[in-house]
Amino acid sequence: MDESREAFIREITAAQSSLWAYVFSLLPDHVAAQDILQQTNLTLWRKAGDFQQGTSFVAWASRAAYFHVLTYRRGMRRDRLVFNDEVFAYLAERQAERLTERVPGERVTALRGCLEKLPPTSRRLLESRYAPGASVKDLAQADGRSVAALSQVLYRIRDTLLECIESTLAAGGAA
Amino acid sequence: MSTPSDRKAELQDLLRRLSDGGLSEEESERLTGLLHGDPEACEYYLKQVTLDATLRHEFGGRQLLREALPPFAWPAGDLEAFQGLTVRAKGLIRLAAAMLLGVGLSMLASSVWPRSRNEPSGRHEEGRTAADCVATLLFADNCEWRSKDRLVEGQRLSAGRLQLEEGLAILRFDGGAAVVLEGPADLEVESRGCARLAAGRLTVRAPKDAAGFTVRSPASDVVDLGTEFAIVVERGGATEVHCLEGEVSYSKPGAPMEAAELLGAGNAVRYDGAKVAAPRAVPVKSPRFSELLSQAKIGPREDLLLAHEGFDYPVGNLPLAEATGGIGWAGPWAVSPGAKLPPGDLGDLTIASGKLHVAWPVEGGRGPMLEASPSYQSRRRQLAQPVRLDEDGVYYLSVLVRWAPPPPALTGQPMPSVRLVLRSSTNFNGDHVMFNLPVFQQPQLDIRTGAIFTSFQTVKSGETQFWVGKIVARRQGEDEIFFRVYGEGETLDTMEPATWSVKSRGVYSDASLDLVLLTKMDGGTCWWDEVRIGKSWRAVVPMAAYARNPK
Repeated sequence: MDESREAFIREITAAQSSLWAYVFSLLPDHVAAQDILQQTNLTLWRKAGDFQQGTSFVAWASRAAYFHVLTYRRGMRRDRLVFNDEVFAYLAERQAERLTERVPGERVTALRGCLEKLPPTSRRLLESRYAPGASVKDLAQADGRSVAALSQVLYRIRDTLLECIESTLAAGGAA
Repeated sequence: MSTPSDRKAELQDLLRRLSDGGLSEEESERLTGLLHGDPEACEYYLKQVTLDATLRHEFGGRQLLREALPPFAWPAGDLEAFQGLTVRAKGLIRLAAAMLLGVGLSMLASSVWPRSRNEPSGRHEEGRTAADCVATLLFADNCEWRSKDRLVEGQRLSAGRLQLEEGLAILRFDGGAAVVLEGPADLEVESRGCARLAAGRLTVRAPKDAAGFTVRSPASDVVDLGTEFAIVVERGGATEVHCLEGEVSYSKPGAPMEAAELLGAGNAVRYDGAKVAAPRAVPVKSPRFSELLSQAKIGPREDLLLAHEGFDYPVGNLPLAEATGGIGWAGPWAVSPGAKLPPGDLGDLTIASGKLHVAWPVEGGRGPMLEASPSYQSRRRQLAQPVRLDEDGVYYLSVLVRWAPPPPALTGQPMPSVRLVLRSSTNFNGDHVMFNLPVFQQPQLDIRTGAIFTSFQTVKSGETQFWVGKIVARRQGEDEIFFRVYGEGETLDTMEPATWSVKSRGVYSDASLDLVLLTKMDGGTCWWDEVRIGKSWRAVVPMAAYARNPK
């Protein structure tokens, strides 16, 4: 087995959650973002030879993702764009910086630790909310709550998680 | 002009909408306006949306990866459609597929093949899925049900009517509320957080995070606000609501939320009929939830034990032919197919004593037990009665385990782990149910090669653990498998817990599993004792004759 290929495969595997976060933050539509991530992955495989060992894989890969998102945006009607070009460019640059500040997977590890600290019902609620195909509307209906009430509950849970993740990352340790 | 706090509140509101449903054109414009030239707002947006993305990745990973990973991970049909790549690129992709299995993405990559390739496709597709279920029947002693279906403990319940003619049943709704239903009673399970009581008595215990649990009745809708309450519906519709702890709100069915009244702890009201508009105060006379549980006499169910091995053999070497103890087995222990033995080793079991620190009221674990030395790989034993995934049924298993894992392995070596595995003697390498603890100490379920579900929970290494597994088998529909690891500091639950260390998703199997394997991968020493397989939580989890302080 070629060692550099092996290393490349490890890098692309480890970078998946960062790449997904990068694409999703620029294109907050999960179906479109999945398409972009898939196209980005293919580009990365094809261009594997261009990656310089020892440099930041996430920075390199997010650049490829940036161009895919840009191409996608160009094909969209202006009125469907979530951000204007200026905000988009700023978010793209800042998000790439944020994601390369951390070792790939560090944020996910912190999230997992913080999920453990949530009350079981909150964790289950998140699990149901983010299960494939789930929607807040359906979940609210199933729970007999209003969409607004459930949305507020979910927002609070996410806020708690965010606080926990930030403090975990700031402390540089596991949650 | 809006203040910074107005802007932040508006941004939060837009981000909530963005996460939970999407933004309209106007809302997108407004979001852009709020982010434009405001680095602080952009930072807030990126933090929120990164979390949202990570949660989608974490909980929706299967779907996400199926669609986002390169074609090496696609199902065969899709792969054939993948025509556009060069020969070199295709080679790289195949290489990557093989490599991924070795670098830790096996769970994700393989999750795109949730069905064994040998398994005929199409079966079960019409059946019930785990998502259709909204509650679990935790306890049902001496219960007479009017329905044709036989209800058993541990059974998952979908929305529908439960008519209890006699007895006492305990249910836990997936939203978190636990209820005691006393027969005769007529209850419609409506959702994870709602039930309709047409007749009988229902006592509800809803922890704070299950607040909002609703019981509808002919005379009143009662909404729990993080508390304990009872509702009694008499023939003719007269209804009493007793608040035993905390607070509940109650109102006439269909009344607007603002018309609801609050009822505090120690208070009760009675509607003298279904159509009576206003209730009157009555004394509280309902027993507490804990009192009902005590009355329920939640005791052991040895009669529902299918197999038990307590390794009650003389300490020392035990030839396999003599390892025939316990109940519910079709033969002695044997070396598992594929397990390698050191030269001269006939596979004898090593029986040790006093190697576990048993923190629970378990009978065994203090005397003889199975010791797996560093060279031990796997032993198996055939069950007299298999665990059948092709029929409706609920199974539980438990085992005491302590594992002193080896030092970190060299790269490329198999992952050290200890396992209890159920396999089929007629299709050994087919579907299986594996309860696995890898060296990184996050419990896992492995249903067939590569279909792995990993717990968020990291358990403490090196201490004695009590493992409990649950299998909900369905003839038609999704099978559900659960795994819980209790550490030395944890009390064993009297009834199955609301949360498990890990549970499966999307498993459909027809396997008939008649082999139990105790396996240790790569080094370290491990001790097992008290292997139990049964048809009730109470058959495999030890408890006092009658639990006095159930949760």
